[in-house]
Amino acid sequence: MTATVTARRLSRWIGFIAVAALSLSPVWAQQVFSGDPIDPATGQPYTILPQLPLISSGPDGRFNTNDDVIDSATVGDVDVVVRSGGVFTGGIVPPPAGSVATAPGIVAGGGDVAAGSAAVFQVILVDGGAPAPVGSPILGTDLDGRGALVFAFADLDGDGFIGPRAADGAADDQVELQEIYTPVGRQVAVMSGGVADGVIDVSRGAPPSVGGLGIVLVAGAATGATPPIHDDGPWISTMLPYVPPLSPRDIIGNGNVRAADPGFLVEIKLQKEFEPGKVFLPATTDPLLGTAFAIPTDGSSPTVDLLRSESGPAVSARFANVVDEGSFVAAPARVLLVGRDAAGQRLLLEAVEEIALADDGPGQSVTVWLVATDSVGNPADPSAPLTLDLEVGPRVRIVQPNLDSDESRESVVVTTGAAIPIVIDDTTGLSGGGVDDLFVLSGGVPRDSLRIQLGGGSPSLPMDVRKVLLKRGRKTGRGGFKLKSDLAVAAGAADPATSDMTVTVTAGGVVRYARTFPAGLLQPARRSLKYKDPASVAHGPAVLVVRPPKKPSQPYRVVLRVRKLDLDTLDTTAASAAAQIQIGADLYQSAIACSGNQKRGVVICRP
Amino acid sequence: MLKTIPVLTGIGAVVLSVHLLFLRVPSVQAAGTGPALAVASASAAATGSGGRVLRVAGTLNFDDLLQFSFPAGLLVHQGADYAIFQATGEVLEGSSASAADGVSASEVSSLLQAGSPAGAEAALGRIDGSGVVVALPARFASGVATVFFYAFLDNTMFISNAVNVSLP
Repeated sequence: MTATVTARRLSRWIGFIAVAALSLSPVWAQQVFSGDPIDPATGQPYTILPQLPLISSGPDGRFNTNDDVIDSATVGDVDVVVRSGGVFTGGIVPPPAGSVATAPGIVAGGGDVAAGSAAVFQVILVDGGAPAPVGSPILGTDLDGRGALVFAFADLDGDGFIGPRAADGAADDQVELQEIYTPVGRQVAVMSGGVADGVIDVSRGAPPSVGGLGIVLVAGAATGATPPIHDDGPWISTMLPYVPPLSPRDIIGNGNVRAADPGFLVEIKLQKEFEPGKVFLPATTDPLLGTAFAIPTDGSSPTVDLLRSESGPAVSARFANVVDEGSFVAAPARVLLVGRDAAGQRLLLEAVEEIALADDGPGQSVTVWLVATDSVGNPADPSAPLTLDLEVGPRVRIVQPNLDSDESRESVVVTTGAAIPIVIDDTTGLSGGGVDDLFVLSGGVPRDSLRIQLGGGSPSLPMDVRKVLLKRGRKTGRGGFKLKSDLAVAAGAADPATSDMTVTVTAGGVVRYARTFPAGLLQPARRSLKYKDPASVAHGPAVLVVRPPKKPSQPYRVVLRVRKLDLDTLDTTAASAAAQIQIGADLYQSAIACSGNQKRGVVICRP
Repeated sequence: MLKTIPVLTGIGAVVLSVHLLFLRVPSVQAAGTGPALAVASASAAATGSGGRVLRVAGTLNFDDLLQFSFPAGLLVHQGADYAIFQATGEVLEGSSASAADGVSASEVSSLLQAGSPAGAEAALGRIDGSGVVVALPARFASGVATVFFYAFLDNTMFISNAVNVSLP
């Protein structure tokens, strides 16, 4: 009896020890890492994108710096693939769709925000062996419970790739960069038996009349041992348009966590999302890597898959500009849209909320584009003719279209998703600047407005710049500046408290900062008016203070302090800086002499 | 309405968007973290016929709203009058004495319940990752109104910072 009990206890202990040993065993014992090279510094498998060389950030721990290490002798294998449309049924992993046209089609939108349709995806562990190119599925359970994350990127410029590439020249590189700045959807799923099944909705689509929008799905998965997020092992991924931070802990947010849940928030450290140095993407002219990170949409990248996203039916409208690819500068906050012109050709558009218009009578008109949209703002084909009514205030006139000789309003019947050029000009006989608005209405309900800043017809007003201090910052993305200036705001001039304010700072002839603070943003704070960006603004958070004068004869003082800017290329030998502050239609500007301190990386400008 | 912010300076200064991999989902109850709600700016304009367009820029967890359903939207109030633009497109309006001195997170649910479907002049024009554009109900007058985003998750109502906007 005693012996029997002892044997049971022993059996339990053996079982316990075995489980404990398994949980403590190196994560690279998992089958997906079989044969993978080990990083001697960590004892874990290297994180390498499939078919790319080993890339590490070097001693400074920051990518895209001079000490980055690229080891061409160590090349990543294929550990995981993503497939759209539910095509994997347990046998050989099917190839991805061969083109956007033949990829699973979805409608942009989802959740509660729009009646879109979701795409089914499967994140599948593979061994990278035969059959080439991805090998056989690993349908074991050793990664069960790990989170997988799928991202969707849109081919905005329609060149058949996600991300910058050299073959089509450098002029459009910024638009191509925008494709990876602004993913159009992301969702999580949980690995089970070597596969993470899920569905993903995307925010962007193009009108069906231009064939929709090409979307590339990429994916990754955690491999660590410790639940709930398993962040203590290297991550594995499909091909990605860049190398994310190599350490999971560099990209995981603070606070308590819980396991991946497709029905809950996905937090991916939004505060540091755009910090430079965190990710790696070589120049398209890189002699070794070239444009290896550009992901094609022709099915030739075997680890990723495709979708074709169409916009929903047109129910609203917005204003946009046609993108000039040569002058476009990528930024996470910019919104690019794929529409079409009257001839049915793709048209790359950028959402616009405000424009400047010369207050000079006839001439120097401006063209904006009116686009019928679905409920998430994508250019869209109407399912039935859609009447859009344009309306403008007294200071602006609608030059084209003009079917009724009434330049204050126009009705347009939209039958396709084609963007419609709207030419506007200032009203003859009214001057003095100011603002006006162009509205688009449907069914009598305003759907969008375009703020029009009238100005440029009068000379700029003087401004006394008291101080400009620009600092490069010790790390990329940690630059900033402070501007202190006095404005002699004349009676009748636009009121800083109730007008849009656009601040532009130039140093050494290079525009270093430009931002419009809309009317209503400034709030009373003691004797001043103040605006401070919320803590969630990760890039260029600003504090703007406007102090009205005690006496009418005194100036307004404007103080603007901005942090977390990329001023790496700040020329500390710049001899001058210039500041412009436009309040309503009144433009104040001044230049000031500067001296630099190269060692400290600062430019100081004082009267 | 956040406009252009920094000037990017070449590929070497690439600032890329997403961090792939390794989702970390906050426990809104234990850690006090939750949806990332923030109003960056708000502006309004009026048509000649009195309709008002309100544009609110900021973050409303749009990427999450796209993937799964949870109550979220924009609340606008002016004195006791309020309007709620739900992410679903439904618009409610009403008047409540509790809104007159500001609206707290704990009061949003009761305003949602008390609100009536808004008139046809009110609509959610657009919602996306940069914010929302709405047409306001006629009950609002010229003057200052206050706007904020809300979201209800894990039995907790979250609200963003509130921003005043001048209605023409």
